[in-house]
Formats: sequence, structure tokens, C-alpha cells
Amino acid sequence: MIKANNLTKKYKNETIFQNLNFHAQNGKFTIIQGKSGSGKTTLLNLISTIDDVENGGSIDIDGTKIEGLTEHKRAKFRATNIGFIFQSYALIPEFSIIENCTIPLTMAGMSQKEATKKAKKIIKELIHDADESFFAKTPMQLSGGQQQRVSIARALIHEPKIIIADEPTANLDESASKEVKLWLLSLVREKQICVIVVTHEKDYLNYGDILYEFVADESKKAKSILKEPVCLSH
Amino acid sequence: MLKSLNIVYRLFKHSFLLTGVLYLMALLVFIGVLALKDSYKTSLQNEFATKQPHIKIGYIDNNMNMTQEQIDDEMRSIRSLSHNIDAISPYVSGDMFFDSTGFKEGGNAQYSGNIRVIGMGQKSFVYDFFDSSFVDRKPFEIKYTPLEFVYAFRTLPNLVVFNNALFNSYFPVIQSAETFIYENDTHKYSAKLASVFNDYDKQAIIYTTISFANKLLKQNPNKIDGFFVNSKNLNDIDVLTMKLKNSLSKEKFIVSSWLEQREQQFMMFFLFESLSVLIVSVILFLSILFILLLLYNSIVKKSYQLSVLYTIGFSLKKEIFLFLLFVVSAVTSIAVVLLYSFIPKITGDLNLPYDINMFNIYINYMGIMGVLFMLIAYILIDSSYKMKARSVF
Repeated sequence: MIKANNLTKKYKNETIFQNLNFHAQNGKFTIIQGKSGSGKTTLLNLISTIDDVENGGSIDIDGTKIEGLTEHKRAKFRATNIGFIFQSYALIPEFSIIENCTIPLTMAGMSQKEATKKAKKIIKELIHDADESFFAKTPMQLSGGQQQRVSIARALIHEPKIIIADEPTANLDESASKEVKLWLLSLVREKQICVIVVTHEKDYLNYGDILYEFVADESKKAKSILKEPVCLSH
Repeated sequence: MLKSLNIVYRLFKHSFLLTGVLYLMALLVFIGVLALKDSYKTSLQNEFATKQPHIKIGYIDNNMNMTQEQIDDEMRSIRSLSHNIDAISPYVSGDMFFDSTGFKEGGNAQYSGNIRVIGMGQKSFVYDFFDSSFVDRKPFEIKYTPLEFVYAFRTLPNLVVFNNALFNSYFPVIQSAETFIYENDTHKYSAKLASVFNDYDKQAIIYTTISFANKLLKQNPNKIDGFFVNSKNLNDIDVLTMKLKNSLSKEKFIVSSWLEQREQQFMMFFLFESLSVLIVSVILFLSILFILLLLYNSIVKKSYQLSVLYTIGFSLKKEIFLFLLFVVSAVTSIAVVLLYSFIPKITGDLNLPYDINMFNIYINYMGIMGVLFMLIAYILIDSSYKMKARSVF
């Protein structure tokens, strides 16, 4: 569970948001929406521990206080607890599919043999016809849909408690997009994972549980404010 | 840690290996130029350090056959030109093919090749002795000096010998030996016949009497080429040279001084040194520029991958540092091995001295380049992945 309270973020002389509160629970599909430049990515950088909480506020993730952690400890925390899915897939082009997927496990200290075995299993769950020749391919040899599935496999392989996804289906066709959404939903429902998705797509409202929306701050104290969460009923 | 290091290695191996190769190439050129410069300098210094400053008065006519009386008259007339003349010796010189068996480190050896013959002594008690055995301490450096000539030299304080090695090197060696005894009416001299010895000069030379030199060179026994002149005051040797040049007939004599030779040689060295410093500076500048550009390019190209790794929780600092340390250590150790293995050999083969100070320069070069290389790469990588990580989303 993520609890971000009274978060303030400034960039140079501009206040992006001020005293922002954001909560995301395990077993819930949380959606963040807003216009470009409203602060969605800034919030993601903070709650994913990439950025340090330096302008005020606190973040608690499953009982761990993030503010004050060193860069090294934050990286270690991310490696263990958070899985990332990116719009651009963010696979490393020099590495094979299997090597891309095993990075989080080898970082955690698992042997290459065990990590490879686990990666093959999870890739096969996402891409049923994946074989040895597929595992040996590099990301550039795959279609966008296949790359995003591999990216999801990498995000899930170390069994994180939180999945943070940034426009995960923006580059996919309709059918692949639907498949990914259903996958994310199944993670929430079956594994009780906390899934947070930043998206412009309205279709996500059909899958999500909680909606947060950034809107312009009319009081002009900050660039944006985060509206109170809305429970989405299906 | 090793697994993480492996990931960094796979990401950077091509670009960093190329950087390493460039670094090594720059180092080798650097070593080569400095080795040549240092060897040249040491060779020159040794050559002049072992020579007595002297003036050479050579006959333009290379067929001067003179009686002892004529020689004595000529010497008297030269001596009368200046009070600064300390000693005058007639000389004859030439080259001959020399074939001899002898001993050098490791066993018996054969010397075959051209050798310089210099004849200077005239006195009757200087015994023309010639034994073809030799002792050779370094390959291709041979000097043949009959013991009698050295003995004669000891008994003739006015004899001008332009190679100082006769004073410094020969006597301590032969005085300890027992296998040869030389006697005349007034002196008894006991020594080993070590008729070949080395000094810092690179020429193979036989010193002997004028008559025997002429015999070896198959010339008229009375032929002389000119005179060696010593100055009373070494600081005035250039003044004495000018005096002799102005006083002696230009149709008959060519006057040259050791000082002029030295100045010419060192002027050439100065030009060579300036050129080598320029070359080394350009090499240093270009190599640092190329290596930094290559590093910058390779890191900028990999900044996306680095930021992805950082985002998914890979704290790379230790791994990158260790990887850089590994690359620099690998390249540096190759360079050191090359340095130890090849440089003394190269300088030995070329008959060039190996200057230990050069080693310090190489180590400094490698150290500076290595530290610079690591520091820049580390800063670039560190700032690159932190900045880019925020833009992966």
C-alpha cells in the first residue's frame, strides 16, 4: 500500500503541486489521469522512489518510509518491491529477451540458471508460442505487442507488490491493448497486487477501481492539484 | 556483485575495449618517441663524456710521408703559435677489416668487421705488439688496445689521447692480471693481456704506434695524417682553435675542435628533442581528446540503457567503478608488461641505453590517463543515468 501525504514538488521556481495526498491499496487498480504537463510523471517519479522527497511531504510504502532513504537504498527498494511497465517498453537492445527478463532476478542474487528457468516460464504465460529461438531474440526483432509482453514479464518476474505503468498500451493495437489491460486486472484480482496506471485512455475506466485526476490549480498556488479519488463502479 | 558487473561489462565492452586499444596505441607511440630521444641524448652524453677536449690539425694532402725530424719540426712550429698548447701528438688513422677470435660473456667469440686503427706513439721503446685475441663485454662494441701502447702512454705525459677511456677503464682491468709481463731497460710492467675493452664509445678502435698502424693499414711506414693538440686551459679551447685556424695555412691544414663537433651534435639533438617534445605533446593532446570523445559518445549512446537499469532498481555505482578499474588495470598492465619486456630489448638491439627515468614518465602518463579516464567516465555515467531515469516514463 502506498500512502503519500502532503507531497510538494517544485521544479526551479515553479510549484508543480502542493500538499498532495495519494493513496493506492493492494488489490486495487488505481488510475491517474490528467493533461500533459499536469504532474502525473512527477508523482510517479516520487511514489516509485526514483525522485527524492525533497520539497516536503512523506511517502510510506508497506510500512517503509521512503523520505530520507539514500539513493542506493531506494534503488534496492525499487528492485525488490516495484515492477515497471513503460510506454516505450524500455527493453535493453543489447540483451536477449531472456537476459532482459532476468536482470531483476540476477540483481536480487538469483543464479542465472534459476533466473532463466523462471523467466522462460513467465514469458510463456504471456506469449504462448515462445520457444528457445524466441528467447534468444533481441527486442528489436519483436513486434510492439511482443515487446510490451516481455516488458510486463520483466516487471512481474521478481513478484513485486506494486506495478507502476506509464501509458502501457499507448503504442499497441486494440486487441493487444485489451489483452494487457486484462492482464493487469488479473494481477490485481488474483495476486492482490497494487497496480497504478498513468494513462490518457478513457477505456481504462472500465477496468480501474480508483481514479485520481490532475486538474489546473485555480488558486494558482501550484500548477496542478490532484482531485479527490473517485471509486469506479463496474 | 559479479553478476551486476557482468551486466555492465556486456553493456560497455565494445566501446571501452576500443578506448583501451586507443589508449594503448597512444602509449606505445609515446614510449617509442621518448625512447629514441632518451637514447640519443644518453649516447651523445656518453660519447663526449669519455673524450678529452682536443683540437685536430689534419693535412689536406692525405699522402704525407715524413721523417721523424720533419715531424719534430712541424710540431715545434705549431707549438710556437700559442702558449696555450699543452701537448702535440702526430697521428695516423684509417679503417681496416679486422678478424679475430676472443672471449665475451658466455664463451668464445669471433669478431669480424671494420675497425678503426689509430696510430699515435712514435718512441722507440713503444713496442709494436699485436695480438688478435680480445675480450668483448657488449656485442658490437670492441676496442683493441695493445698493452704496450698503454704502457707507452703512461711513460709519455705529453702524448695526446683523445679518448678518456684509456685513463679510466683500461688500467684497473689489466693491473690485476698476471699472464703478461712487459719489460724494458727502465721499467717492468706485469699485467694480463686484455687487449680489447669497451668504453662508452661505440666504435671498434685499435690504438697503436704510428708505424704499426701504417703496417696494418698497408701504408708507407712514415705516413701521418696530422696532429692532435691539447690546450692548457680547456675553457680556452675555442680561442686556441681560432688562433690555429688563422695562423696555419688553409691550403695545407684543416683545423677542427672537439668543441665544434660537440656543438654541432648537441644542436642536432636540440632540434630532435624539440621535435620529439612537439610530437609527444600532439600525441598526448590527441589521445586524450579522442579517448574523452569516445567515452562521451559511448556513454551518451548507452544513457537510455543506464537509465532503464537505474529505474528498475539497479544502483550501478560500485559496478561501474569496478568495471572501469578493471579496464584501466587491464590496459595498464599490458602497457607495463610491454614496457618491461620490449623497451630494454629494443634499446639493447639498437645499442641504445635504457634510461630508468623514462619508466617514471610512462607510469605517470598511464596514471594520469587512467585516473582521468575513470573520473570522466564515472561522472558522465553517474549524471547520465540519474538525469535520464526521470525521463524513462
